[in-house]
Amino acid sequence: MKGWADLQFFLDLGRPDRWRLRLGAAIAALTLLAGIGLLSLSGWFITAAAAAGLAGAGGAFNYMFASGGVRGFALSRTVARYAERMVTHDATFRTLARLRLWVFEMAAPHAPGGLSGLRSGDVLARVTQDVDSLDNLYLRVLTPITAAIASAVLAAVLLAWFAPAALPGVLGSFLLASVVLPLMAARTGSAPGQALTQCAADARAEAGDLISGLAELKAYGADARVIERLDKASTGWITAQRALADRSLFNGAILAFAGPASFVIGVASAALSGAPAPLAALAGFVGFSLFEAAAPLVQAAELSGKTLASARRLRELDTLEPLVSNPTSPVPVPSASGLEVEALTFTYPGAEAQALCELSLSLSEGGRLAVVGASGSGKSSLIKLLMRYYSPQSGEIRIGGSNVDRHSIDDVRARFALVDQRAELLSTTVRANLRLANADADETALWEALELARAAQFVRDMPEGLKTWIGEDGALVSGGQGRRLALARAILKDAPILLLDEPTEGLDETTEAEFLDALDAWLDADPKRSVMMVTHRASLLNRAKDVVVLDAGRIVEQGPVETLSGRGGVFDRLFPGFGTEQ
Amino acid sequence: MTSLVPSRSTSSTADPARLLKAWGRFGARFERRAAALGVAQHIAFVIFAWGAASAISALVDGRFDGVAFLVAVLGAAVRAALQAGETRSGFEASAHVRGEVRRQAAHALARQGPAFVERTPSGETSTALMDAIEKLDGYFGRYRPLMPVVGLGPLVILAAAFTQSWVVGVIFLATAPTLIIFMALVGAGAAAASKDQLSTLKRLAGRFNDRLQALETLNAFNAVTREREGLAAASEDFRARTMKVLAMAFLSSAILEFFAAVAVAGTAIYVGFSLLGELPFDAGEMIDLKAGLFVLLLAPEFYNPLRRLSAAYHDRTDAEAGAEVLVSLFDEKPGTGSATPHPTLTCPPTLRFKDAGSIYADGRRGLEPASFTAEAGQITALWGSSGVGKSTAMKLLLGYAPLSEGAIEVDDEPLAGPLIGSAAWISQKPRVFHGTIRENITLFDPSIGDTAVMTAAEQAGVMDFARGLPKGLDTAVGERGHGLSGGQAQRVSLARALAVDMKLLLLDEPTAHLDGEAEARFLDALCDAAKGRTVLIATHSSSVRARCDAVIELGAAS
Repeated sequence: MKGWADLQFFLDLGRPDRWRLRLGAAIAALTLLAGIGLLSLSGWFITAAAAAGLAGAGGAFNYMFASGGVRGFALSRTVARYAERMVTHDATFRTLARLRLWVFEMAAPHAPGGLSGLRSGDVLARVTQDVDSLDNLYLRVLTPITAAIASAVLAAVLLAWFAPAALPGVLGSFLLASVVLPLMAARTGSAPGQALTQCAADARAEAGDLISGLAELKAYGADARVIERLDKASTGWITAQRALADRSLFNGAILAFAGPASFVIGVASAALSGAPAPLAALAGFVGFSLFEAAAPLVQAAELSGKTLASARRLRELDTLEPLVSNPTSPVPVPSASGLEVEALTFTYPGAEAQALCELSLSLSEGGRLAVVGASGSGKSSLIKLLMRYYSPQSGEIRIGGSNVDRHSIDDVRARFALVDQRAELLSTTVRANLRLANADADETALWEALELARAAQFVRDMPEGLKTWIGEDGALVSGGQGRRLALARAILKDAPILLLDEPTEGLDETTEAEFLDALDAWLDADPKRSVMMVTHRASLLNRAKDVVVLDAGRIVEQGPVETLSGRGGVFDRLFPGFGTEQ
Repeated sequence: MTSLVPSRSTSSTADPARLLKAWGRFGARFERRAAALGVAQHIAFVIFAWGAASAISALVDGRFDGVAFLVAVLGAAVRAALQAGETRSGFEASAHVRGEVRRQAAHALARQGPAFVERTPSGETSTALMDAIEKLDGYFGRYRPLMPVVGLGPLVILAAAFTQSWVVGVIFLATAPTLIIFMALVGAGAAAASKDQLSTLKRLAGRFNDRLQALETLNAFNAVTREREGLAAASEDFRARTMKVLAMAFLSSAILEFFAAVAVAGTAIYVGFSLLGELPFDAGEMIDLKAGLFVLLLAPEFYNPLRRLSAAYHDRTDAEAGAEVLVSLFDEKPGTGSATPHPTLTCPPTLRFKDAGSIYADGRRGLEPASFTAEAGQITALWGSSGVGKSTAMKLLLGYAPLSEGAIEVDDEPLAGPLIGSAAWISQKPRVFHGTIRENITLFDPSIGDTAVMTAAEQAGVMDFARGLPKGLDTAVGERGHGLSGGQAQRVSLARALAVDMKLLLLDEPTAHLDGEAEARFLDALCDAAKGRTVLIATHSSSVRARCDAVIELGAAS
């Protein structure tokens, strides 16, 4: 079966917890068996008692055994159900935790460059859902299958022993409900499932339009039209849900009918074969209670398409080739931190146009270089190559005169402190965010960095200072504040080369000037610190000593800032009137 | 980065419980139908049990009662059909509620306007409109229709049991207090999972997703290994805490199971002993096999509704969480969006601000009182550092910001209402709508003719790039189509203003995200389009300023 290999892979991943999972399945089977025992023994007991009563043989009837058994089954069923739930949930949480760590470890070396090349597109956006839907695999597939098999075996033994004539009918209808019905459910459920995903995405797009475009829409009085489109998409989404719900409706009805029908089949076939009435009753009740085991199988099958798709997508992580690999025997990076880039040529995987072409530049210790250019000119690509997110097709990057290929990726990254456009913060405390850069930094160091980045004041004003939780489910941090925290974090890393990608976007002019002054002071404090900044803001350009102008991945102009303006080249187009207004 | 839920004012007119109650009526018809079918199932089950019991007792008498078998099969089939009907009606109840709530939420959002979207953390409004509403599904589709079934279904079974044996009826009744214990335990479970506990769990659960999205940053700081350990610890913590909460929840359903099993066992033993004539007491009733089997079959069904409820009780918590997210959307301040627009402008207006100031609903100062005049037919720049209120000044004209003090005059008449339909709004990052370029120009208004669109597209410079696209103006763009660059999107939004011939253009830092070349190209198109229109541009770009007829420095004089 297609996709089986993917499932097998994740089943193997759950191996360390296999005993917990097996225990859970065993107890689940016990629960079902106790249920079958309870109802069939009761039915047999009553019927036999009636028969014995009719025959006037009440005194000879071994009712102590039967009533003890009934009470025993009742109690063990309750205890087993509780234990089953506890054990299987505990095992599932453990397995899921392992699965998450696996995903994290697998994805980490490929971020950010390698993950975008996956067939299924934005893997990271879906990976959490995928991991969660694999929980079906352990909890809702393995356990019920084991339990169903155990129940079927017990039922078969009971029937074969006491009422063999009922065996084919009862077991046959159980197989129909627990094998054929789930297989059908799995087959017919996949098309509506895909339609559902499509419709949900459509509705989401319309909602996004209404929310992000509200100012435009309202001005034209067009909001009502987009609301109507959203309403239509929402109705379409619900219609797709209905199609899917109808499938499980049908399956549910079949299951609801199957239990009682199997009761009748059991009783009738046993009775017609001449079995005594108590045994016919037993056969009927075995058939009836057996169907408790079939329902979870149908539900698992309804979800199977989703589970398989998730397994397939996650499995892709395992097949990725890293874009950058560590050398087999890395050597230590020299202590000098002059940066040289020579004849760097780079094309993104799968892209046609070159992002960088024969690019050469250098940043000496203590240097301050600005890289400018229109969007798409290669500025960010250069930073990504320096950070070793990608490897160039040709050319070299050298730190302290030594090609970065010879060093471990971690060692190279340790030389750079990067603040990029997104200034991404983790959803955790302010302190943990800062300590990302330096796990051992003490309070003094943290506050120093915050002061430098002009972030100390607002952190002090936060409800719990450094302990304030920011991000998801935490305190609000504005774009400008977030950027300053990211700067503080970069400063705390204390790497010799600072890489800044539009560092002051989102700051007002006063704060920007203050920040740049502080940055100057910090850079000046150690003459070896150097900075490369990517910007389109004139205020930053003034702080640079040298400027490199990129256009379509090539350097078109370079030199000290004051020499570039007024030449009528790309620089003038990017910064019209630069120098005249200052 | 997303962040906290906007703080709710204490005087809020909407609260989750009240909202849920009010939404119930959208699906009330289907909810009632689902409940009726749910109760009817129990009647069908009684018929099945009667047929099955008759068939077996006939066997003991040595007869094969085909009619009884048929009654049993029919009873079972009817019950299955009723169950399907119940589920389907429940779905429709939920579908009607969700559809209507989404419609109303969209209208509420439109009334609250862009100011609401701005003060709400990114992504949260979209979550409200999509996911929060989906969270209502279980509550309206299952939980609510189930409530009458929980009340009436067991009564049907109980009544049927009493017709055959008062002792068995009493056994059922005696275990009914389970209901109370069960509910109490659910309450205790909910208390164990107090708000603090829940938010800790949410953070722990969110950590994996957050760190996965942040892998690039973790790599930049060589922090992957450290974070892996943190994740492992968080997962373990999450497991331990969740199991504690679950232990309570499982215990309550175990007790339910226990009483159901006790009822079956008790019924079986009583019936068996009384058939044998070995009862240690005189019950004052004679039970035959048929009656005994009948009540035995009924026993598990007596507890079935409660069992279903125990599987559905988190539906309510989910719905409350969903409603909680939606509260701020429905919590409208009086007067939002109800103003009638100012009469449509037919020629370029003169705008006069007289000490006009604005304070937003959340208490934020949008604009210090400002006085200036934007002359008709001219391009006027609003200049000043960020935060001084440049865009608020323009938002006052559209009613997106409240006029808290002073006055605004349009052509020497006081502004009578928002200039909806008279003023075009061009933002920093114009939204590219999910549709064709043509639809982005007309904003889905089919009454705007082809010529108007073409002329506008030509004049705004849209055709410069649209000609090169496979389907020209009919190329699909937006979230699920062809991507437009920032500069291209700006030109589309300019064409939009020209196509409906707006006499006033409001531009909010239109070139903030454009590089020099794209900026120059856009400004050329703008100056061309500005003829015969009043244009107001909030900007801090010197090249934009250079193209303006007049410059007003905000926050400088006052």
